Amino acid sequence: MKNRLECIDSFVAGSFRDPSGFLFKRDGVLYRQVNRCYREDYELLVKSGLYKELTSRGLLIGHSRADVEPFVTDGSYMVIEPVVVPFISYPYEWCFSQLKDAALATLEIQKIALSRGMCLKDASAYNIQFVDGRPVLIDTLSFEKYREGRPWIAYSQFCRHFLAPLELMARKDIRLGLLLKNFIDGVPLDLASSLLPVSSRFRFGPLMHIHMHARSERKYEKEEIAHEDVKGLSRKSLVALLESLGSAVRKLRWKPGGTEWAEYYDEINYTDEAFENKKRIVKEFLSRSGAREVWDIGGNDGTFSRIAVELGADVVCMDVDPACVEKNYLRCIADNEKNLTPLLVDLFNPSPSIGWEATERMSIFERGPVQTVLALALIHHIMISNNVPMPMVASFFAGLAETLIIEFVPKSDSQVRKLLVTREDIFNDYNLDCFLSEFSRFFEIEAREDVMPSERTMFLMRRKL
Amino acid sequence: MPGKDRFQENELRVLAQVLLMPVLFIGYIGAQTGSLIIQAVIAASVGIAVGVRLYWGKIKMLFSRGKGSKGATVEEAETVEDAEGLDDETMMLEEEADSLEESLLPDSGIETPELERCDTELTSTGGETGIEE
Repeated sequence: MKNRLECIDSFVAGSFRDPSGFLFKRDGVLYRQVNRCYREDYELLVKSGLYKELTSRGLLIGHSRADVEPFVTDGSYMVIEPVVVPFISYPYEWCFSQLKDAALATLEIQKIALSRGMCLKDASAYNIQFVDGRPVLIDTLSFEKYREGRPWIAYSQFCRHFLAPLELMARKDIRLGLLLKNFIDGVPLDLASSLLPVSSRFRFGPLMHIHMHARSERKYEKEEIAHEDVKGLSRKSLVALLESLGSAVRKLRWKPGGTEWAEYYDEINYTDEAFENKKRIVKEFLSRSGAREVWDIGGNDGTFSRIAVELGADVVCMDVDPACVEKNYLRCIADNEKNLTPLLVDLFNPSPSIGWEATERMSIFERGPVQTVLALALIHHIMISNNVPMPMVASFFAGLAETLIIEFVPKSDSQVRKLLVTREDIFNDYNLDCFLSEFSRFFEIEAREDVMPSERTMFLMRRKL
Repeated sequence: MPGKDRFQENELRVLAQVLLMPVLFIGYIGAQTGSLIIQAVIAASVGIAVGVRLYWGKIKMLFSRGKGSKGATVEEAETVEDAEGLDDETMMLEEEADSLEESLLPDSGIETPELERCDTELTSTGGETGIEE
């Protein structure tokens, strides 16, 4: 038998909490080791038909048994190879409806599990990923045998990871979803309770699941009551609890609009002709680049991302505006678009690596590099709104993508003039010559075309080897 | 690098100890007692809410009888239930809530003052089923 050190590639940092098993990578392939302590539950997952039902309904990621050495030999039961998720995203990068759909999927999974004699032992939002545009549970080891009378251990986690941020986003401010970036195990219920408006106390869902829940946790925090002494909860009562949670989540609404970028394409300064020309050029450049994986940075509502999708690429469309991401996601759902993942990402304060040793959840750039980046109508915001010097902009894109499709917007453009109205023009290097000179250090300029009749120019660049 | 190998080996030992430790606890994530207790309270409250709604038609009938309109029927009550979207499953919860409420009270030594407040809130807000916010 091989020494375990010899066959190790790497342990996947985000999967250490559950003793039932963990993820590891070997020779670039992702595996999940199932430990012996989980054997009974794993067998029940399969025998009860739960695995089949959930995978066939697209609610659980599929896997196959892998005939490979385990990562840690002692205590190992088996190794499985899960279907690979193309792009890992985190709850603080999701728009309101993405988090809502993920919450409802979790509850649906729990209800189906109960009907098959199992239940979810955790309800972490990080266990949900968007695959083919829909929320899917990726942790095969999240199930355990249901024991009649036992309360739902993951109830508090569900409220912290899903309900509390959704309530805050819908009833207080959409930006409060970003609290999840600070609280890796979900928004503390006492914090959510103190932030929610008083009116939320007159609604059953937030009253019970947030306010009373927070109060109850606080009340019994210091009292030494063993969990075994807590009275049981029948299966029907547990179903009632799930129905109540589902009802609370379903009732939450957030209407996108009125933000800086939500109506961007209604207010752009170029003509229909220029807009159509821009779409044509983007399509041509994407075709030439042979893009299969695309990040559309500052992609607004995904208008240009969809061109890449039409050409067969998997696209992650990032924008800082929650309304744009929401609109984009709702369109994906309405049109059943599978290869587009809209995400809320602030390029000027991107998702950091967080958690234990700052490795548990990856930063957005650790999830790259990517084959192709679209950076349309973005450079003036990077340089003029955020004072990033041109050499840093060029090196940033060079570190991120093999192929770059970028739009240069000159100072004479009305959008740039708008940015300069309220500030001194200190941007001497913001011109086409400087742009070409700095980007040429890292990229070969493969093609360029003016977006007629505007003053903008599109470039297709390939990173130098 | 020998130092790096040693570090990796130590890291793996610790990892193996953590990952293979005996599982004696009821869940690997912490669940606060208060969170476990409130679940039963909520489930009971939902049951009570359903019960109130279920009998709302009958209560209305009582009042309408008092005003002399004796024409109120069982069918009318059923229409109310239907209009409020009660299905078989939630209707069953009514009985469940009664027994659950009893089981929650004093003998376990855990007070549940929340129950009383929940009832008040439920009747004032229309409860959990059928009311759109």
